Amino acid sequence: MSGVKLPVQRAWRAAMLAFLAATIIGLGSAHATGTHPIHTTLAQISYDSASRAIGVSLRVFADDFGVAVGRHSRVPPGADDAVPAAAAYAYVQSAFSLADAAGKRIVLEGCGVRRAGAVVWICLRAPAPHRPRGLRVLSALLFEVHDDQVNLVQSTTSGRNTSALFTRGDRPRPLP
Amino acid sequence: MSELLAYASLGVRHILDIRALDHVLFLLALAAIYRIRDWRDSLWVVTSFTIGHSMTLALAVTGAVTLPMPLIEFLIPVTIVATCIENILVADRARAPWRGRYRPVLAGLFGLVHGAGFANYLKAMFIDNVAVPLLGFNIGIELGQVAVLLLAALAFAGVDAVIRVARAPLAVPAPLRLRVVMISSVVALVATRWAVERRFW
Repeated sequence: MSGVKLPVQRAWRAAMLAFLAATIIGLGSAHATGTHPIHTTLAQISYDSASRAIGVSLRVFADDFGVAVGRHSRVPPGADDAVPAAAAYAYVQSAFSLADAAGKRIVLEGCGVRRAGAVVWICLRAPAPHRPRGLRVLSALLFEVHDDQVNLVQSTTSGRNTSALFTRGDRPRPLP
Repeated sequence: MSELLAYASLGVRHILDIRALDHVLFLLALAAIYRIRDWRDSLWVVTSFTIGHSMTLALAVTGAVTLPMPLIEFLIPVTIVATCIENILVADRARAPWRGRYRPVLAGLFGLVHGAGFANYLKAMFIDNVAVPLLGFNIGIELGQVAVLLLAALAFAGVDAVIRVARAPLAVPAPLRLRVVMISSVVALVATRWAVERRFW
C-alpha cells in the first residue's frame, strides 16, 4: 500500500505546491494589472469638396496623449495633461501619416486642438485640388505608450464609413 | 473593413488582452462550477453577463446615467469575489435556492457593473456616433468571452483529469468540488487585492 500511497502523496504535494504557486503568481501579477482601460484613438478622414481639402479629425485620450507629446517634445505636459498646440502637431505629424497613391507623403497642417473632458481633439488639413484616390494611411499614435494600443481610422466617402485598425508594427495601408 | 467589424475587433482584442484580467477572472469565476457537458448553462450565464454589461454601456454612453468611475472600479473586483464566495459556499447546486438557476440573474446584475467599466472610455471617444461602436464592441466582447470560456473549459477538464487520477486512493473531495474551491480561492484572493487597491474612500 505504501508503494501506491507514496507517489500519490507526492502528486498531491506537487498539486498543492502548484496551487500555492498559482496563488502567489496571481497575487504578484495583480499589482501590475488592476483596471484595464481601452487604449484607442479615432481618426476620421474626409474630403471637403467645397474647400478642396482633406480633413483629419483625431481623438485621443488626454492623459496618454500628454505622455506621448511630452516624450516627443521632451517637455513634460502641464497640469491636467495640457500640451502646447505646436508640440501636439509635431507629435501627430510624426505618428500619423497620409500618402497619395504614388507614395508621396501628404503634409497635414494643424487647424486646431481642443480639449473635451478626457479627450483631446486635433484637427489636421491638407489642400487637395481633386478628390484624392488611393490614399495610404498609418496611425501609429501612442504605440510607444501602450503595447495594446489599437487605433481606428475611419474614412467617409459618399456618406459611407469604412474603417481600418492599426496595432503596433503595422505598415501604411490603403484606405478602402 | 466595415465599421461594425472594426469595433467588434476592438471588443475581441480588449477582452482577450492579458491585461484584461479583471474580465477574464470574472469569467473564470462564473465558469468554474461547470463541466464541458454543462456548456449550455455556462453559455447562458456568460450571455446574461453580456446582456447586463451591454445595458449599462448603452445607458452610460447615451448619457442616460452618469457613473462614478472610482466606485465602478472598486465594485468590479467585488463582483468577482462575490461570485467566488458563492462558488465555494454552494456545494450542492441541486439543493441551492431555485436549484442554482439564479446564476444567470447574478451574472446579469454583475454585468451591469462591468459594463460601466467600459462605458466611460467609449462615451468619451465615440460621443457623436454611438450606435455602431456600441453594437460592434459588444459583439466583440461576447465573441471574446466565448473564446475565453472554451479555453477555460479545456483547462478545467485537464485539472479535473489530474485530480481524478491523484485522488483515487485518498479520501478527498470530488474533482469538480476540489477544482471549484481551488480556482475560486485563487481568483478571490487576486480580486480582493484589487478591491483593496481600488478602494475609493
